[in-house]
Amino acid sequence: MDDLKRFYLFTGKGGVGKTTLALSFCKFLEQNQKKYLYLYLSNSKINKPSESHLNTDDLAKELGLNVLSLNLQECAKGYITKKLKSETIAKWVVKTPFFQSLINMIPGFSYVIYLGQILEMLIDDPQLTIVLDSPSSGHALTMLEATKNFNHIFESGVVYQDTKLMLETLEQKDFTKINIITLPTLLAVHEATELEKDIKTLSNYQTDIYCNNCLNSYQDEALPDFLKEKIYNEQEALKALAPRTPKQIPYCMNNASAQIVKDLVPSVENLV
Amino acid sequence: MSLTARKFEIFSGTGGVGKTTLATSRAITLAQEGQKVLLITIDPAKRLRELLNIKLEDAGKVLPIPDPFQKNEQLKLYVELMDPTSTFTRVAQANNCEDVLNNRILNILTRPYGGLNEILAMVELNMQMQSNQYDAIILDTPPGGHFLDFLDSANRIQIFFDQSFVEIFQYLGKKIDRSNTMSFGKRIVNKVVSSGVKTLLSYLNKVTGDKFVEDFVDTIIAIYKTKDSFLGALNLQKELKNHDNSNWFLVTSVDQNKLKEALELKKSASELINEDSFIVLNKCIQDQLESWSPQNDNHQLNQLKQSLIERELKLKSGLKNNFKQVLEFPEVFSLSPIEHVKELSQTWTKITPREN
Repeated sequence: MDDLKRFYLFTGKGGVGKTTLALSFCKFLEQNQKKYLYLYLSNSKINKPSESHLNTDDLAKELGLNVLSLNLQECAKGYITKKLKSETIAKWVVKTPFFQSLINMIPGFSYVIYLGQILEMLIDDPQLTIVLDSPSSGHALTMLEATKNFNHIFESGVVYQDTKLMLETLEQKDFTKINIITLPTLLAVHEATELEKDIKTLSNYQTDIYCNNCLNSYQDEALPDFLKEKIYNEQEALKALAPRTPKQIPYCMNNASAQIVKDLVPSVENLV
Repeated sequence: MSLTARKFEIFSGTGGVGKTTLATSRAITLAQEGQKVLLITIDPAKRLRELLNIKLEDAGKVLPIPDPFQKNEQLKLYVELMDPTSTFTRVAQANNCEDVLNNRILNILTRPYGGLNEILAMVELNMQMQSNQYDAIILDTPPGGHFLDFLDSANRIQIFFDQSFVEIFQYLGKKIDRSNTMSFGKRIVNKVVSSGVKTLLSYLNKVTGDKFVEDFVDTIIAIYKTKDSFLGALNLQKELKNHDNSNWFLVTSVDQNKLKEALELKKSASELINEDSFIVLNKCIQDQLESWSPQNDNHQLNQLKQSLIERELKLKSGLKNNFKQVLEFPEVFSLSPIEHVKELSQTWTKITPREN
């Protein structure tokens, strides 16, 4: 656990189990007495959390996890207050229809605001680890790239300095770890490796790919042919990760969300 | 006879796993029935690009696809890998203002992950529809919640042009087409008019510097010049809602256990899509599981069988309670993408039209 990073991003195509594994990972941190916060970010409109957001927060609370909720408008207001040294002006700015529709029109904008807040919290509290359950793959890139894009857009000034600092913090060695979650099918594994490649072109982030829902551990001569075939396909898919050793998360026989999260805790240790 | 094709066929889903392959198989099936089909896909995996023979550098172009099953049929099948930069270039050309392509900020925002993807996808779809060339346009949308962003983009466009521009142009109080010599942005920043926008820009100026504010105003003007393309996308939304024009397929798969998300997607999208949407359940293995009888003493295998069946049944009953029509597709065990598409294509031809 010495190599625990400060900021974990769980990403990958939708429906591969990002949320489940991110929650298991938090449970794991909790059991190891680590200070952590779980954050689910959906690219929802300003001031309007999506329902999956609420469902996920409910599940996290049911599991007794520490949940961080960020409000986009509050984050923006806090930042502007600091920069212009006036809360009144900040309040007014974030309420202007122009500011609001700009945020709605350019999703990257809101990511930069959120990320700024997250990084500030991490800098303020060196003991803290934040686990971010991030939007699905293309959009995790949007989030990381948005910071870079905004840095390019501004070129100079206070915001430029701040986005530069954000990038430097994110790209620090042992600060950020990106866990790409995928399923053990050839198509999904290929997509995961492509995503990893794209992330690496942004910066040399530490990344790893984890295959969720592997039936591998149920190997048995007595399995019927179609399941043997399924497992064979799984292994072929995992081979596409060579030369690295594929990291597998076993299929969980339980069918209740909260129980799956708990059952998987022993399997998420190598996500650190 | 297979499921009646509509002018638009939109695939969305709780996840990317299987959605693009299903959309592709649908496109090929319709093309085999003799229709002229355009498949627009947002982010296909490499294997699928290989199958359809699209190179990354061809992104943004409409490419004819030879018969993927190599039966030498003459298919009228076209594919476009959506590329925001190309779409924006077409927007600029359509509005006779190619100078906006030099705008620095817009160039950054229209990069592949620049953040304007969903909105530009809607604009692209509208431009292809207006070309009136295809019997069916099949759209593979971004995964999950971003599909809602896509649907909502028309709305966002409207709010943007309604509110922001009314304010900005009240402030500017000038026609925008005379921006030849000095940077128009600079002239505007230099103007002193008391309005909320001016105050806002002056605050912006404090934290970002003059250069950005000038560029920023230029950007707003650039977007305004292309507004017809953006506003055109608003009409498209009406077409998409009409069930004579569109089939909506919400895709989910057995290995994902995402009933809640599928229902939520349906609920959130209900104002924007038509009521007859289909739910597609991919990778069904129930039939095969049922016909398997593990030996009685093998507890683990019996438990495995039960848990897999239970997971699939739970999903199916949940879906059947909430959707008018559930389309089931079997798991395909072949590793070859072409075999995959072939098998799915066979399932498409077996789906019978629903009695109305």
